[in-house]
Amino acid sequence: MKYLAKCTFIAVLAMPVLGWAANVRGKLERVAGYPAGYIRVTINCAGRRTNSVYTGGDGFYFVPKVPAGSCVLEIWNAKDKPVSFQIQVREPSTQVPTVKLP
Amino acid sequence: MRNNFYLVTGTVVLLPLVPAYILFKFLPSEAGADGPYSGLSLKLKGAFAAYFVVLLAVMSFFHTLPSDQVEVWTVKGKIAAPGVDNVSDLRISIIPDQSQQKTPDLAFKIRLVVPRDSQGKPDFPNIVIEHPMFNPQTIHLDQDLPDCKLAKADDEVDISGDCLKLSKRGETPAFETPLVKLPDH
Repeated sequence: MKYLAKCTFIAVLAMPVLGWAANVRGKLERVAGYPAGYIRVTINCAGRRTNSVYTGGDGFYFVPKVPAGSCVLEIWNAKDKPVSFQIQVREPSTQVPTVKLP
Repeated sequence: MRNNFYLVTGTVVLLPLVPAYILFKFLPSEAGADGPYSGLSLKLKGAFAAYFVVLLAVMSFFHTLPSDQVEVWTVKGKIAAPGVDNVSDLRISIIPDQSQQKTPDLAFKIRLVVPRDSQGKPDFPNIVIEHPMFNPQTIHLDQDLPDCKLAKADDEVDISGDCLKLSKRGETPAFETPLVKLPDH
């Protein structure tokens, strides 16, 4: 029992080193009410930006392996200037409320 | 090209005559060409040798041209849809999309037109794989996947193995994050 507790404690400590991370998902919509498809999305955590993903035709996006913590969701509605939102990422999965885009 | 068969054939046969004539009119010589060609032993002299060499060069050039099986067409147009602000939301689909083939075992093949950037490197587009039951997955052809190396050959990218694993939508209960809009930069 003592051994198991020790192992669990070490595993919890090692989590950030092992790169455990969360999946972040959400949906983009236009204010007109239809899904915003094929929009580039990135998440910036402590200055490290994830690989960009694109929303599907139905506006849903899925960003894998985002480090837990306070991050910035970046939506590249315009080519060179993202619309940014502060989010909290928690393992194993984080749902972002639907974002309305102009 | 198919419609210009006679023009192409005429060009291939007659074009080499020009340099051959010029060379041997103004620089007469006893130059020759000999060696094996398609299993035959050739020994050619004078103007005909030059003609034959240039003919081979022109023929090999025409062999490098795109085949007749695929033609690149351009379709141009303008759409009237008042009130559309986001042109990126406008989707134009090709049905059937002959640029891609999918088989029942979920293998796929996509033919892409890839332009070159200012440095002459291929400017790859991104591919989004989506299905209503799964989370969409983005593939950047200019970089490896997070857990997979893309096998690139001359004009082929091979994403085989278990590289493309779609995850089911909403499979795990999720923490709902608060969302705070940050000021524009």
